[in-house]
Amino acid sequence: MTLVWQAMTFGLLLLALAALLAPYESLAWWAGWFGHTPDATRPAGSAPPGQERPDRAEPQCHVVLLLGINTVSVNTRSDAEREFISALREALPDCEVVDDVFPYSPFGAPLTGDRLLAWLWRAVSQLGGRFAVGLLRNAVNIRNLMQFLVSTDSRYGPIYNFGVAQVMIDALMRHGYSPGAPRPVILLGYSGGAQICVGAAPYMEAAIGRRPSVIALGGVISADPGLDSLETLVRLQGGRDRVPGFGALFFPGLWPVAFYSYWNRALRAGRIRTVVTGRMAHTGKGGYLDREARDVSGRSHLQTTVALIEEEVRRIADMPVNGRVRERPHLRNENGRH
Amino acid sequence: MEFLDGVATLWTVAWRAMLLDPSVWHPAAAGQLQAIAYTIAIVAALFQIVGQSFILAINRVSGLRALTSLALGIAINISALVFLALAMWVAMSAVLERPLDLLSTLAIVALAQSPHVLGVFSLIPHFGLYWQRLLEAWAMVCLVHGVVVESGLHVLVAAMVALAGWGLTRAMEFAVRPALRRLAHRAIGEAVLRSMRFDPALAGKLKRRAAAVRIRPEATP
Repeated sequence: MTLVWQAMTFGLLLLALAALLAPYESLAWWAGWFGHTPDATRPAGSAPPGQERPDRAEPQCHVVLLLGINTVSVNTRSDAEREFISALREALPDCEVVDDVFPYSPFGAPLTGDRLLAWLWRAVSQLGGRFAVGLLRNAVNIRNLMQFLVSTDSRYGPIYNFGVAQVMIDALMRHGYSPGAPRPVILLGYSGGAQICVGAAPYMEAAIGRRPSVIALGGVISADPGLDSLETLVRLQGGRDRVPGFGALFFPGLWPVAFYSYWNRALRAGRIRTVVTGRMAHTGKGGYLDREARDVSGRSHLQTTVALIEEEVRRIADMPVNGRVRERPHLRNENGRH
Repeated sequence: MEFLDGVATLWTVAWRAMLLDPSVWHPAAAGQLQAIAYTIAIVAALFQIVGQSFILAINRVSGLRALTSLALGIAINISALVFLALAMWVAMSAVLERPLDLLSTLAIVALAQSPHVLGVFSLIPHFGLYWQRLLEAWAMVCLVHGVVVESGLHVLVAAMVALAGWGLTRAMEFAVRPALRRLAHRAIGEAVLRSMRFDPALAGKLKRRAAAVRIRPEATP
């Protein structure tokens, strides 16, 4: 019993230490300690050198995808994530899907990149064996969860979100975002990625000159000031997904009593909609990206998720700037009305 | 070794003070434990300015200027506590219609800062903000308890005395804030971030910075 107690104490201390160190990356990046300061001098509209996009037909919209907190780097995706991305590309051939943004670093540096603990995260992505992988996967989750919390924090969040917005703008430019004929920019965030989409929205708006929209897939979002900079926020929510509801417990701005919070104001303005995706869980078996689990229509969860995203993307891309989304009968509003 | 013993004693007293243990509060009200109480107040002030050292670091302020700024921060915190003790001493003496021992009141106010010894955890993202509020509330509970122990007043009257002292201190801080800002500006120069508390100006600054790299058609490659 003593050993269990000691192990729990040690674990809690480690967690507290990880939490205390979490803002360091953002603050050190802002201070220029990593050798590259926030770049406010790059010529407007130019892609970073060597990252120009080859000539292609002008896409109708850009979908920037930010995945969940289990992300190690943009090159180490799970099979389900890879299938999801390719299905999304297939469903949206006229849109550019930007999937090379690592959202859990203010300067987009993947965990396996140029970092002190890169060896650990590389080992995580290469290790075999269920227990070891499970244990270390949780280390990745905890590390990225802390960055998610940095994004929600009113002290560190502005710096972090500014950095991620800059990374997203760079990625948009690489993927042929055309300043001459701007198309809608839709930020698609899965789980914790949704919060980072919302946090980065004010800076995206300032940089591209129009409000982005966010589609949150099982998204955990705080009452972030970025909600004011969104054209619309569509929450795709599975009936068996408890994660967003659990997350909401820790963000008092989401509670109905916080009448004047950014979240509740956005709700009243009709800028937040919730679409129920069916009996989907947050992740794994029965999750949004599961290709085995089927809904009543016989479609796999992955197919349903992609179809719903496609529908929402087309709806947003067609709607006028500053316009409002029409209500549909099968959509559930946040206040529970059907 | 003596240093470690001192740290252990300090921590024990601070922890007991947080738990409103009479074995700590009664001696403090009787004029004992003053040295430890003042040390706790200084340590609490130190932990409260940990955030300030972050700000200095990311604004690339180092050396003598950084030390000056940190010392200024501690001095401001300690001055606020002395002012709070004075205000409460006046209030308590007026209610009781007899002068109390000023040094005992100062020790009570210093001991009431014990929860802020855990202030370093307010740096934790998101939850740290709530932790900070919790510590402030906890320190207020300690303060009211200290007033009850020292003066024997009813807890509601003690709460009013503590609130009056707290309110006066806040008003004083508000009045001298412009002068303090000028002083801080002279110490650390123009800062990108001024406070580890919510700074609405920061988001505006960053937005303008993002707009400075705004994508324009004429710049298309």
